[in-house]
Amino acid sequence: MRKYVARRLLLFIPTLLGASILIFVLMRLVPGDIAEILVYQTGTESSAVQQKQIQQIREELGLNRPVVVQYLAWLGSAVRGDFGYSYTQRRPVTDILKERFPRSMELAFLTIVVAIIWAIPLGVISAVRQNSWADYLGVLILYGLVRFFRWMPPLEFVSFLDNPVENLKQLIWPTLAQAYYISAPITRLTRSQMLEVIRHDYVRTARAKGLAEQAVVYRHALGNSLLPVVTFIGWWGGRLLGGIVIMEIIFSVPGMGTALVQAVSYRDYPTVQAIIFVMALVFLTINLLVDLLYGWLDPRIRYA
Amino acid sequence: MRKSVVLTLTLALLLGLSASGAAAQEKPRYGGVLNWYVYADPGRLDIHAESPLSVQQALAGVYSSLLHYDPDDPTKITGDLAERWTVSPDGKAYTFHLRKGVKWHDGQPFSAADVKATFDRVLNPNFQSPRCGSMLKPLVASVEMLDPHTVQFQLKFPAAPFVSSVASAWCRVAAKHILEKYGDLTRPEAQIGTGPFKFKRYERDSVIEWEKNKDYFIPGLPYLDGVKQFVLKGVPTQVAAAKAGRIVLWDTWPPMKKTEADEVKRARGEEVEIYQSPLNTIMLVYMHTQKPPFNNPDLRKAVNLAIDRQELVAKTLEGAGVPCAMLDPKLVGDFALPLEEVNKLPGCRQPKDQDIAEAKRLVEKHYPNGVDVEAAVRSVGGYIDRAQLVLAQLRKIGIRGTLKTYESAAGFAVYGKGDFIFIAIQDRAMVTGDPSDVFGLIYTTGSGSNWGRWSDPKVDELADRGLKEQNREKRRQIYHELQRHLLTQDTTAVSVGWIEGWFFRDKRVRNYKVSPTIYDHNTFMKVWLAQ
Repeated sequence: MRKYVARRLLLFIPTLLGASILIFVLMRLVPGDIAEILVYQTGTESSAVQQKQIQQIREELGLNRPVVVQYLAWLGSAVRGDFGYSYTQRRPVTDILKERFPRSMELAFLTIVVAIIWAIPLGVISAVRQNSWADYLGVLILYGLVRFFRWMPPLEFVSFLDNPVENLKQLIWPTLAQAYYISAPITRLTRSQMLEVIRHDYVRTARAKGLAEQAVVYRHALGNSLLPVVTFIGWWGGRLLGGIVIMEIIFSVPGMGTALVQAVSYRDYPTVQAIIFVMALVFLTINLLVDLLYGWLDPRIRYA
Repeated sequence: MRKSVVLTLTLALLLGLSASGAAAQEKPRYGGVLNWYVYADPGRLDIHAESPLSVQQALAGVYSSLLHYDPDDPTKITGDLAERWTVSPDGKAYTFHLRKGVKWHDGQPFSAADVKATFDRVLNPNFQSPRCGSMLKPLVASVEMLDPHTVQFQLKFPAAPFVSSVASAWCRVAAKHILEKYGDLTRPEAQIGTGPFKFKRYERDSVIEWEKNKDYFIPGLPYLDGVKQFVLKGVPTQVAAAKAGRIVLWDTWPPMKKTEADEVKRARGEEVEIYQSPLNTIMLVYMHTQKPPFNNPDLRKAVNLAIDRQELVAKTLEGAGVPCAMLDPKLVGDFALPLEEVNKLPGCRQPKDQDIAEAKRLVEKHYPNGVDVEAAVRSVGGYIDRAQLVLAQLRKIGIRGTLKTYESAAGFAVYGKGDFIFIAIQDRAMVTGDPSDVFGLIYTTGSGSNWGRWSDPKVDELADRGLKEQNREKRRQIYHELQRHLLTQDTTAVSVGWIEGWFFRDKRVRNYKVSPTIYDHNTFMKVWLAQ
């Protein structure tokens, strides 16, 4: 097992390198660099002055150097934990990450927990009680909450450590919105897997030997239905990071998503690079955890 | 100048702020925190080096200027840190006599040395100062400290817009010792001003908070204990905050649409006042004058004739705007050409049949089968909807446009570099209430937003004369001539009209006055909250 984990961790390196090269190239393919964007957006000074200012900023940020040199310089610093300096926020990018990363992760974690807590039992119920009102219960309750709950979450972010209640009052809404979104496919998947497993002979045997229905469903059927669900949740973990960007903007959560959007629109290369790098790392870690979870759920994988 | 601004706010005051008359007789109440919002995170806080409204809004109440728009009557410019000022007979030397006993928020005394340090910084040719610097660099030769409480500005020529430029909220006075300590004003800890509020807290992408300056140089002010600005980036969030009563004021960019204003009115009822107000922003269609097909003056003329400004304002701005005008009479008074005259000019007159026929003829003369053009547009706000209507109008005369969208900031870079043929629609905001702004920004040779690389010696000559002319009546005539010339020429930028928008104010907010630009009314120096 240790060997397996070590091998998987080693595979992180080429993947992260690939992601960093990809984002580095993509950011330079889109029109405009930070110097042009900062100078031209005002359009108040004469064109001669604008040209001079653009050159000044480019020199200051080293944007006049060949792209390969720029990338290698960035990589050299990044491996030492220095992600450079954000020209738009005027502070080290590591400061931005330290501030924003925990907030976005809290939101992501809450979302997955709520989605699982909500979706898996709902999937089980709707499979066991097929074609009943319970099929639609979740959708109805969530729809009702969003439609009729008139309360506006706080507009000001408070850290969980400072005031957990205020923190959750703000984060519960993006959590519910996201969890609602991902819980539907998780519910459906759990339901269809359960429907398949519940018809197997060993479930009939379990019932025949007189086991309580709850034990049949949760101990025998559910465990064996969860493998594809876990895979799905792992895959969604990555997509979730994208969804969080939108949620953070709508619910005014100052996380990595809002920082990323601003950094992309200003072509703040070091900040974009660092955030994407961290997001890629999180995605890889989730996938590793999912693989490890397989072993726990299915002994055949563990002993293979 | 004063007269020009008198008309500026008449409409807004009449429409929206009718309660202010009653408020003037009420005894102001001390206390309370005013909550409102800022549409973006300001990021970098150097008021001299940055240009977004979000930066201005974050710092407006923290600093003071030499002069400012009078908080009681924003149609006038009065002293702020300057008690009074005198002008030399040749109009080239302005002497400012400063208030005594003023203290910075860190307790240090304020003096003329701070004023000199501020303006030496802003006027430094190597310092990028897109607002204050770009206004003052062409006008000011030097700034001298005559004694610890007197400074003198030597102008390059007697410049009419000097006073309104110095009064701009972008030309705030910073502390010399802070500039020496930090090198710039970017960091939150460098926000040490002399204004009515102290910069208390900046949680990036979340909230900006000011607290009352108890040592403010005007005794008894401010009334509020503080001001809180939430960073709300999405329009749905902004509207939700307004409906839920989390914010008490919406007088910033972007304005509400009529439908959003109606939603707020329905949710808050008589608690709020909804008003329509000018944004000091012009809507334009640009053509690149050095690239085909618009390097041909006939094609530019055709576009000028074909654009239906009235339809654009009616359909895309829900009627909130002044179509056709090159200067808005509501903003600059009689410096603007009378609208009756403007609306009779080719291109502006209704019905459009005659102008469209002529435009079609001009296009057919050079392109018998019509012509295809790529139309650039920034994919923010309502630009895409407006652009589509422009293209539909041009299709009638044989110009077939295909939209090419750019994300917001990148679009400006493309325009600035001149990497376009046609910009289907773009707004430009003015920085002062002076009529010279629009010409110096868009139409003179080499100006910052003359993206279509247009050059017309007559425009340059008239704009230059307008800047230098001291006699108000002669200045008015110069600007009338300039507007007539631009409205009938094959210019780079067709003026579609001046934009207005919808705003709201909670009726508990008292003594809030709208000023000629969106940058100049956010100090909250005399604003108070009723119970």
